[in-house]
Amino acid sequence: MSAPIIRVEELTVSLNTDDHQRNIIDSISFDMFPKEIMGLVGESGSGKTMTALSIMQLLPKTIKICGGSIWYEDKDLLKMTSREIRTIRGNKIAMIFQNPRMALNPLMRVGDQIARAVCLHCEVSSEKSKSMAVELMSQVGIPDAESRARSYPHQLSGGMAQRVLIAMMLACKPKLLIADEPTTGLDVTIQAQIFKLIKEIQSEIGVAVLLITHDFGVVSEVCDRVGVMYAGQIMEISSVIDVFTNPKHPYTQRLLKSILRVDRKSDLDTNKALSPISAVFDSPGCRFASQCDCVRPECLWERPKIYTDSPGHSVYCFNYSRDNK
Amino acid sequence: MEPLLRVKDLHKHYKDGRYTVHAVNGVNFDIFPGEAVGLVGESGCGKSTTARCILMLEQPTHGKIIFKNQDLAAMSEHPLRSWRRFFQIVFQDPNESLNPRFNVKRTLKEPLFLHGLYQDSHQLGELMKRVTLEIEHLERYPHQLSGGQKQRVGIARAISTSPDFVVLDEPTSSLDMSLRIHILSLLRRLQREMNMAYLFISHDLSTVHNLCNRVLVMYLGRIIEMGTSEDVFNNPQHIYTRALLSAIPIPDPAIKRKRILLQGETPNSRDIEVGCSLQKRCPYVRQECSFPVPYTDLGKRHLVACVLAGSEIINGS
Amino acid sequence: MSSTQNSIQNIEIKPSVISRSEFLGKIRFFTRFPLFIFGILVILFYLLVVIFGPSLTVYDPTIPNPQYTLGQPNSDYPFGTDKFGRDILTRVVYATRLDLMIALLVASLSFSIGSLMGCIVGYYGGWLDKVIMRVVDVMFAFPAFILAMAITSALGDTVQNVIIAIATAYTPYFIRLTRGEMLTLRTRQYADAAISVGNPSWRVALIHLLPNALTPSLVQMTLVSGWAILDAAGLAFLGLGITPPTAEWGVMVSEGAQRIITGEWWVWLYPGAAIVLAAFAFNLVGDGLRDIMTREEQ
Repeated sequence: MSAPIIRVEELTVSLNTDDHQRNIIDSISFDMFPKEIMGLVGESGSGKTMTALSIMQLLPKTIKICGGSIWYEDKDLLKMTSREIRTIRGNKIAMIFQNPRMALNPLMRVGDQIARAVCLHCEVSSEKSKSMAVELMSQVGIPDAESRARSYPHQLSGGMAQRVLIAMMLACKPKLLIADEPTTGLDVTIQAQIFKLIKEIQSEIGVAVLLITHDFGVVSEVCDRVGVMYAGQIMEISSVIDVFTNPKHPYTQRLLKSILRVDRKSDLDTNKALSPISAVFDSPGCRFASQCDCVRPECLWERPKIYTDSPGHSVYCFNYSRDNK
Repeated sequence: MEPLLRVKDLHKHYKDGRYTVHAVNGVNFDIFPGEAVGLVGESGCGKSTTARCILMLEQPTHGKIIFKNQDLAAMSEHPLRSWRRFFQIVFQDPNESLNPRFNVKRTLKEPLFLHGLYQDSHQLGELMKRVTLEIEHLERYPHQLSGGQKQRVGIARAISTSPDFVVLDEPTSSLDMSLRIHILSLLRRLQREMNMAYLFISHDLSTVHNLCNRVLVMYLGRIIEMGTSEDVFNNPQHIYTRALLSAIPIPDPAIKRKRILLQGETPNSRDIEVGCSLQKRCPYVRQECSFPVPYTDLGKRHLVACVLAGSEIINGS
Repeated sequence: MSSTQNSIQNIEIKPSVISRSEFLGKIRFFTRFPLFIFGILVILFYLLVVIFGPSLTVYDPTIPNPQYTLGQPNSDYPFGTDKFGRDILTRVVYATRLDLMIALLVASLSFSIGSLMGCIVGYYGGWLDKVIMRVVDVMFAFPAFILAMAITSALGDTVQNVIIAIATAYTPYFIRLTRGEMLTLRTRQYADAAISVGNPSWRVALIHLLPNALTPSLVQMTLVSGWAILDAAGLAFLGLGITPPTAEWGVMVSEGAQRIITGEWWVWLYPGAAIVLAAFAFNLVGDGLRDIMTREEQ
C-alpha cells in the first residue's frame, strides 16, 4: 500500500469541566490511505465526531487535545500555527456536516457561496467563479442549476443543501473529505442518492473519504475499511468484508448482533442491553470491559495492545494478544 | 373477526397561506385486535398526521375513525376523554414527551387517576416491573434518567390503562442501535402479554419488518401498498415500495442488489394531482398513471395502487 | 420471556442526593454572579429591617415632637428630625415595612393574575385571545406610571388602591410573557401526551404547561418589585395614593424636597437613598436570575 495521507497517532482529547477531566478520546491511532473510503462507526457518545473535529482542528473551546499527533503527509497538524492550519483546512481536508443547512450562510444565495469558495481556492475572477459555481452544481446533480444558484439555503431541501456543500467541497479539490453523518435526517431514497454521488466523486477526483456513521448498512455499501469505536477508544479496524464475516472484538460482535435487517427477521430476544457510554469513561483499561462476556482481569486496568490478525485487520483486545504471544 | 379500528376515507388538510396542504388524502384501513400494523413512509408522507387524527389529537377534515363501533371523529369531548383509556400513544422522543416537572410516579399515576383506575401504589410498582424499570426510578425526574429508561417510562404510561390499541410513533428512532432492539423486544412481549393492537409508525423499514404482521406503505398522503409483512417486504409490487426497499443499505457486503433510484425528491403535498402520486418520479411511468389508480388485489389482502402491479415489468426486474 | 427480563440490565444512575463536591460546585457557580449576590444581600438587609426594625427604634413614626424640629443628626436622632420633630430613622424604618409590602403585593398580584390570564389565552387562543391582547396593547401604549396615576386618582387615595393601581399597570407584562411561553409549550409533545392520557383541557393548561411557562415571569416578578417601589414612592411624591402623615419613602422625600434649598439635607437624603437602594437591589437580582437561568439552560 502507498503511504498514508493521514496518520493519527495516540490522539487523546479531553473535556474539562469545573471539577474533573474526562478523556473523551483515549489514545486512538489509525491511518488513512489515498483514495479509500474509511468508515468510523460507533454509538452516540463514542467520540467519532470528536475525532473528525480534531483532524479539522475545529474542536469546541471546552475540549482540548492533550496528546498524540495527526500527521498530514509529513507535517504534524497539531504543531502548526493557526495560519498554517488554514492553508490545509478546506484546501486539502474538507468536511461536510450532519445538518447541511446549518453549515450554509442563510443570508447568501447558494450560488454565491459556492462562487466564494471557488474564488478562495482557484484564484479566478468573480465573473468566472460564478459560472464555475453553476457548473459545479450541475456536476453534483442539482437539476436546473442556473436558477437554483439564486436560491437561499432555506429554500432548499436537506438533500439539495447537502449537494451544495459537496459542490463547495469540490471547488477546493481536497485530498481528504470528512463526512460526518451526511445523511442523518434525510430519507433513505435521498440517502441512496447522496452516497451514490459521494462514491462517484471519490472515484473521479480520487479523494479519500472518512465517513462517520452509526449505520452498519451504510458501512457495508459504501466503505472499503472500517474502524469501530466505543467510548473514545478504537476497538477494531479492518476491511469491511472482514468486519462482517470475521469480527474479532467482543464489542463488534455484540454490535453486529443488534443490527436489524430489512431483508430478514432477526431474533429480538437474545440480546443484552449495553450501559450508556457515559458510565464507562473513567476506566483506565478497556472501556468495554465492564460489559464484556470474555473479560479478563487485566482488561480492567490496562489498555489492550494492538493485535494484528491479518494484514489490515487489527483488534485491541487481550483475548487475542495473550493467546498469540 | 370484527376489526378493532376502521379508518374510512380520512382526510386532513391544512391552510398554508394561499395553498391547501393535503397532508392526508383519503386513507382507508382496518386494524384487528392483537395485531401489529406498520405504517411506513418517508418524511412528509402524512404518517404522523394520520396517527394524530386517529388519536383525535387533531380533528380530521373528513372521514370516520370507527373504534369499537364508535365514530371517534363525531364524538364530543367528554365521552371521547373517557374512551381515551382504550387507545394510547408512545411518542418518538422521550425527552419531549415527558413533562420535565413531573417525576415518574406522577407521570404514571395520572392516567390511572383520570380514569378512576388508581387503587394503590402497588399498581405503579407492577407497571414499572412490566417495562423492566426499578421501583426506585419512581421518584426520579426525566432529566435523571437515561434515554432508554425515559422511553420505557413513556411505554409504561401508554400501557397503564390496559389499552386495546397503542400507536407507536417512531419509538426507537432516537435510540442507539443496541438499545433499539431491547425496546422492540419489550414492545413485542408487552403486546403478547396484554393482547394489544399496535400501529407502528416508522421510516425505518427494518424495525417494522421485525415487529409487524402487516404493513401499510404511505406516499404523499395516500396508502399505495398494503399487505402482510412477508408480501410487502419479500414481494413488493408498487414501484415506490421497491425503490424504498432497495434504497435501504443492508449490513452484509456479500449481498449486491439492483437499486431502483427515483428521480428527484418528494414533492410537497400542496398541489395534488389526479392519478398516481409517483408519476413524476417513476422510471416506468405510462399514460394510465395520470388517471385515478384503483387498488389491485393480489390475494391475501395484498392491495397495490399501481397499474403495473403483478406485471412482468415488476416481477422481471 | 423471563430470559429477556433477566438480560436487560438496569442501568444505575447516581441518586439525586447532592454530594459535597456538587455543593461546592454550586457555590462556585453562584460566585460568578457577584452583583446578584449583592442584590440578594441588600434585600435580606431590608427584610431584617422590616422584621426587627420597629422593635429597635424608640420613637413613634407619626407623633410630633415640637421640642426638636428639623434637628441635625446627632446621637439621639442618628438621621435627624423633620419639621414636626419626628425621628427620620424611625420613619424610614416604618416606611420600609410599607414599601416592601406594596412591592411584594404588587408583584405577586400582577404575577398571579397576569400569568393565569396569559396561560388561558395562550392555550385556548380564539376570540378571547384577540380581545385580551388588544387590551394589553392599549395598556402597553401608556407608561406604567401614568396608568397607575390615572387609576389611583380614579379610585381614591388609600394604600389598597395604590396596590391595585400599580398591579393593574404591570399585569400586561405577565400576560404577554406567559402567553408567549404557552404558545410554544402547547406544541410540545408532552402537551399531546397529557391530552392522550385523558386530561381535560384545563388540566393540560394549568397543571402540565403553566408550571413550565413561569420561569421568565419569575424574573419579571423581581424586576416588577423594584419598579413598584419606585412607582409607589413616585405617586406619593406627587401627592397621590399614600398621603402624610403616613411614614412612606415617597411622602418623606416630598417633604424633604421643600428643604433642598434651605439646606436641611437629612430630611430627603435618607428616604431617597432607601428608595434607590431597594429599586437597585431588586433590579440586580432580576438581571442576575435571568443570567443564571440562561446559563443553566446551556
